[in-house]
Amino acid sequence: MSATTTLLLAVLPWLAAGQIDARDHPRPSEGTAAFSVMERALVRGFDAICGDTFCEGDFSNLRALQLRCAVQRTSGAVTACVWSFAGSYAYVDAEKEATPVVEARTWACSLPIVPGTPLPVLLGTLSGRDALDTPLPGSRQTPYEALTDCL
Amino acid sequence: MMRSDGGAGGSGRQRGLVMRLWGGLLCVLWAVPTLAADPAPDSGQRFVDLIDHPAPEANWDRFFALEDHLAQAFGADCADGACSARPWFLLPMQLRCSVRVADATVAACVWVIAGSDLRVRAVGRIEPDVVVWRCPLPLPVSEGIPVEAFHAALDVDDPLSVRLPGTRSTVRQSLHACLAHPGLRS
Repeated sequence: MSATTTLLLAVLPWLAAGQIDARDHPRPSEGTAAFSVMERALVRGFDAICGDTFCEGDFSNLRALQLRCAVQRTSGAVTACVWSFAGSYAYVDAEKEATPVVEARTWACSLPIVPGTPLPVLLGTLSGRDALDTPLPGSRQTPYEALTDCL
Repeated sequence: MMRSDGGAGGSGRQRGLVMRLWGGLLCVLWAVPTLAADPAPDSGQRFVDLIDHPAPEANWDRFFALEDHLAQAFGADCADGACSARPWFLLPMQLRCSVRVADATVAACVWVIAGSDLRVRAVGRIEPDVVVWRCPLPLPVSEGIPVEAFHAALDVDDPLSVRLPGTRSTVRQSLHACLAHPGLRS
């Protein structure tokens, strides 16, 4: 199989898709670096406030796992973002079993994206120091408020 | 086994410390009238958290150093490509081990691993597959491993390659077998 054929096979699904991962916009993998900056900014904000907020609940060990956004391939408009989390609480039952007891839960939280938000605007808005408390473009709701409804 | 293209973790230990301090305070408040009524109670404890062996929180630093060490080895495996066959971003969440009080041996350990796969579909929907595995560390079934021997065995450059005394598989083999099963969704 020639290199050209291999490349075509890799890119064809991307060309056929109406909606793609934001990390693949404008072309496959070209948006990864900018998207990672936004994801890290949001995770830093989450880690900074978790101990006084979400981590005071049943799952003190609550971790942000992954953020992904879907965008229209041609226009670059963001259509959806989902942020995943997992929480665990493990303890030893002193009187019963040797195997530690583990309680765990997962979440997939949607961020309230305003339809038509350009990807560069979203990235620019939520990549700063206060990303978690910054309203989403065209909205009054912050990622923190969205998580409050979800977690 | 952890994918290097995304995801992140937080400081669960600090949160755990706060929870344990609160728990300890509540225990003290609860124990004051109890101790007054029974000056020499038989605790009846068969197992204790490895963190609390031989005394409450006495093994705190060494246990969390081990948890970090295993998590770093997990990440290194992933960076070497061990994660690429799986669709999930994998994150070690928590390690917890029990010690059998009667003979001060490590009786069981569970390593909690979380996995996330958020996939964008052509119609614009993001399908989440977020799961948790409860993976046992390989330990002898009939008898435990002395606490000191347990820590010493895993205090090596690549703790995942360790085959603990009395066991047939390495930590890595056991972990792969665990992650080959479906994780639990909630």
